Amino acid sequence: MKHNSPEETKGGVKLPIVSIALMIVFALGGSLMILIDWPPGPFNLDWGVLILCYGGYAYLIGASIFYVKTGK
Amino acid sequence: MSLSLQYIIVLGLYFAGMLCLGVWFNRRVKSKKDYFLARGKLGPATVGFSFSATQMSGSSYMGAVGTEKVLGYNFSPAAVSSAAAPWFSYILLGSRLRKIASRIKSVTIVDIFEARYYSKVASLTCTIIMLIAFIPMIAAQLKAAGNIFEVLLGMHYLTGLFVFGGIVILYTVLGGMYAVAWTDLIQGIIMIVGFAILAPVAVAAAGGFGGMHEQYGQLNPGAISFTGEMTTTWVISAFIVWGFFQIGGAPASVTRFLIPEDDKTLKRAMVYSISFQSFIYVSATLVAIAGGVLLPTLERPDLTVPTLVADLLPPVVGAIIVAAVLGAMMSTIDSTLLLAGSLIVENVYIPYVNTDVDRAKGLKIARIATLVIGALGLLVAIKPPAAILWIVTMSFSLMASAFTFPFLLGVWWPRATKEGAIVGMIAGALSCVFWYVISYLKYQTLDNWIGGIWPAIFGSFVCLLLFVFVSKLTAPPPQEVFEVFFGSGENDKRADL
Repeated sequence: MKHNSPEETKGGVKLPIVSIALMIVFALGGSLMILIDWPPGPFNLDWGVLILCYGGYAYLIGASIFYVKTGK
Repeated sequence: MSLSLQYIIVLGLYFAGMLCLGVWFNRRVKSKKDYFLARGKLGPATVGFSFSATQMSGSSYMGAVGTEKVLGYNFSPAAVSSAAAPWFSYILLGSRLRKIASRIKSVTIVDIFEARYYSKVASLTCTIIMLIAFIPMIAAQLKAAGNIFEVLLGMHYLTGLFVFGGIVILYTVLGGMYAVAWTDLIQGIIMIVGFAILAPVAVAAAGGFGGMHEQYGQLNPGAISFTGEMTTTWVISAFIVWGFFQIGGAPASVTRFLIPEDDKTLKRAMVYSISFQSFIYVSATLVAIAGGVLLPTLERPDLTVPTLVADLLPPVVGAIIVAAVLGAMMSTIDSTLLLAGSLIVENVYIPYVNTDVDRAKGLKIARIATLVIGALGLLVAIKPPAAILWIVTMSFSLMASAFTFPFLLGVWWPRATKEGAIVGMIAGALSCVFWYVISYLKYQTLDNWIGGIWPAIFGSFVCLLLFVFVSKLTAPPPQEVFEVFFGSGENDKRADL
């Protein structure tokens, strides 16, 4: 088999940059949220738990719809 | 009518329906490719639900709810992350795999691996690691189902095991991927109905959303926030592992990416998967917290869902939820069974034993392989040896460590070489086992690890490091690999590595 430079055949691959950025925000943002000591919020939960453990799902569904609509 | 009889009637109807689907789809399967893949024959809802139902398994209803009951919001970030697993998998892997699979006409994920890493050693390593993980996984799911029959219906363990196992194996053998994907869709809908009934009833019984948390916080002060019961590193590791590392840890789900023939179906399937998993995990969290309030002294946390069902719901509704739990187990078993069968036929039997296999014979061998693996799983489940627990506990982490980066770099990094992949996979798997062993020696448990770092993270890190290092040191892949995997698509028709 003939060998060649990878760069010569890279043209067909396109990274979904915006979705990858959203994934980094989710992973890093979520990890940082776990580190913070959050003040109490409604329903006898702290704000961090409410945002990540309940609001996180809305973020995921929104981000997936964004990818379907834009492909980015 | 007795409680057990009502359960048996509902479950009997449910099982009969699953078997009918197997028989129905049996007529549509014409070749082993139809049997293992049904490429282009399934819509976005079927693909999406099948991906998720396979990934979630019975553990989402039993083990995960039990763990979350005890660890509360220390474990909930992992639940959110589980719903993100399809997002990572579809976008980072699915879209690329689908295109490549249709270029090289692959039947299994290992076919793609072999083509990308131009090496039978790489594909054989991949096959061996998967098979080592799969049979105990099937056995463990069967065993859990047998236990449900024993606890809820008062049936003898072996009767429950053989009735349940026999039905799953039979419809999988008969209908292949068609039956597996369609039963997954139905099982997924039953899972949604089950949790849609149980979650609000359980929360109301526990005092409403606010009242439930007030009581839970009093009973479990360390579990009402992100940390307390577990360390910060453990919680963050769980958050990362349950989402991102499902890319390598759930190859039976990843196989669904090979089914659609167009990108639109795959993208729409992703929305079904994420919505479905989000609903299940948010409901599981509510049920778990309610369980912590209503059943504070329950000795076996994994029985939280069946116990709540028995305490709070009328028998017929309870039976639907039990059907959902069994359905989650079924969908994991059938997909794992089918993937294991396809690996045996496509990546072991045909290349190494008998290369001359026609269409009819191929389909027959595929069915026999699936049946044999199912029977092996049943045999192991009759009296699982102690080592099985270790393998089952480790299987997800083992596959995540071995495959996440070889899969990802294989489709995104042209410079990834076969030597890098082989070294990375073996080192990743061994490091994962090493991490389990030294953590066990320290803590005497399989659930806590040194520094709170999950084995999948340690193993994957070692895999990535060695993969990149060895790839840089070895010759680049051949031109044909670049064209198929990273070309513009002009060579789609001729590419057949």
